[in-house]
Amino acid sequence: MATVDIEAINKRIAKESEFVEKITGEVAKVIVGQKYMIERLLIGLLTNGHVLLEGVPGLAKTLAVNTLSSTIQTRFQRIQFTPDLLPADLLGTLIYDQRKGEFSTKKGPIFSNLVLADEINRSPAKVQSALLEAMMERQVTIGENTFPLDDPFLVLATQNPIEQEGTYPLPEAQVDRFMLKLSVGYPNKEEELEIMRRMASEKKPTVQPVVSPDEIISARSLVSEVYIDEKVERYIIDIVFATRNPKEYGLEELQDLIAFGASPRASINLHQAAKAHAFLRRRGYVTPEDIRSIGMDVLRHRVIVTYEAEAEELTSEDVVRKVLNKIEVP
Amino acid sequence: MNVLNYTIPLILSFGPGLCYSQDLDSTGTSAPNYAAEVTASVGVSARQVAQNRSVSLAIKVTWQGDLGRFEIENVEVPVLTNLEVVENASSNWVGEKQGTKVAVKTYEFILQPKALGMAYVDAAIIEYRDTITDKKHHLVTNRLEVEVTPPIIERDYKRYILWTSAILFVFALAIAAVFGIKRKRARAAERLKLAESAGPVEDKYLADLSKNVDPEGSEKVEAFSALAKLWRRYLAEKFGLDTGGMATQEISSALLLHGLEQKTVDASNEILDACDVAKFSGGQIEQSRLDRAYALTEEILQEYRRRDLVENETGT
Repeated sequence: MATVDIEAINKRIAKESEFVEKITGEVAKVIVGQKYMIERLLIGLLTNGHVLLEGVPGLAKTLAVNTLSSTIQTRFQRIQFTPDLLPADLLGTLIYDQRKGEFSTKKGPIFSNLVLADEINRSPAKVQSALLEAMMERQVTIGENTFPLDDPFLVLATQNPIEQEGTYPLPEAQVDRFMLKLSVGYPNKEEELEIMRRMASEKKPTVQPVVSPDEIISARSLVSEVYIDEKVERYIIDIVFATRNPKEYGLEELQDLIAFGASPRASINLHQAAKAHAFLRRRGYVTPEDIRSIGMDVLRHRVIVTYEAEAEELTSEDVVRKVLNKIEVP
Repeated sequence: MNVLNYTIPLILSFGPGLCYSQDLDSTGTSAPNYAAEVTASVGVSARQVAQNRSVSLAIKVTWQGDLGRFEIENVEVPVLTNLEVVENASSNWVGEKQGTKVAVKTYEFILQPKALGMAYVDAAIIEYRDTITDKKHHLVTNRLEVEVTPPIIERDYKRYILWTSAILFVFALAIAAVFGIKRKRARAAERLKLAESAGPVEDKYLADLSKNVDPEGSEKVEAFSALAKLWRRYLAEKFGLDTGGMATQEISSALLLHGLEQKTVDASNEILDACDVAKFSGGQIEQSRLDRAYALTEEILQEYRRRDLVENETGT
């Protein structure tokens, strides 16, 4: 029996999640549809988890992140990743001051609350590593000094899955550091019609900041209090373990298709993301629905399929989908 | 020709003891110069032969030198008692034995017994001519006896196969009939069982509901868990949904896709939602929600039971 007061949490969530409506309302002024993407970005914001957005060009990935950052009173930096980008361009460097005769630190664009790493796979491994290290450590060392990064600090990276020439695909170990990997899809007909009309209009919508970083940090604290029952926790564990030992869960057909299952980081992230998902649904407790809803985004980049699976044109998404459909809901 | 297969070995083994060679010329004078050179042996393939079988008689004339050294002018068929010749053949063989050229002429007769008892092969006279001296000689073989035994009873294989096949066929037919009857009875029993339980599927779930879900009990989580399981099982059986791997909203969507009216889908959603709250919020749920979920479950089951009965009556 839980000792938490769900009713009290529900009331607090109802009060403190008001900013979610405001953010989505403001974002909707600019972005048509893409509710899935906006919701996941908010989950990243609420759980302090970095998000990787993957989708073909023109799906408003960058615009969505730009707009989201505009709704929060925070510092936002967009870094366009290019092949000639250097780690110092990202993190900062020491500059020699001739007048003073000493080195001074020039901080890079990573010292911001929201960082958009646009087309992250266009930069070489050294730049990617610098960013991903900062993402994990939440601090940057320049010269002899180590500087903590701001809170909130959220990296939203985008990459294009179709143009692979001249790109540097992120290694699995580094992709694992992103809490969520979103697969951004095309808008539907009605949405596209609305996009077309809005773009044709001369009057461009403007977005106002509606939430402060303190509110985000406070909401994060509340998200961590969202109740998650042991049954649901075991459900998470079953899902993650099924990606490692599918045979034990009656998924014999996946045994030879999975090279590497999801890491413990997947369990941790699924646990956190499910809480944030419940928060966005104004619920003080997590249900299996939250797990199933967010499961794909947490697991798709953490399950590595074998060559056999690739030969059968099976992706990690197919594998995760099978796992999610097989594991019995508590 | 099984007989022939063991004729020669028998002759070789029995030959010296069974017959003798007598060196006489055609005129009755002896031929000392060649006495040692030409020998004759006689043998039968068996000392006992069934009346309906045959026996082989072989007369073998052997000499040293070329085949043309002597010319066999005549081999008289020996006088046979209780036997008759049914086949005959002859053959020549030339070879070397211990460095000496040897010629052999073999005369073979297949003999058929006539009646039970003893049968005899009298002496055979072999007349030959020395091609160098042009003198004629003859040899006389031993008399042989063969016992004719009662005929071997012939098995009519065709009839045997026919009968065996017929028996096997009848046996297979009997087995098939037994299994057929058993299967027919099992089907009849199954039909009877189905006919007996042909009532609406809701009956089973209504019984389960009253038995396993106690809305007044103190263990609300258990009650809601049981209710959720029952409701999911019912939806799976009734509408063929794989509810095991679905969350509440997914079940509602699947029910809508299945063509259920919105009212029922909403009620189902309310039941499952109440169960979710009880199960996953640490059991913090009002009694009224359990009562309502229980009532809704009962109501829907009764409604579909009634519809099933109407459908069965109208045959639609």
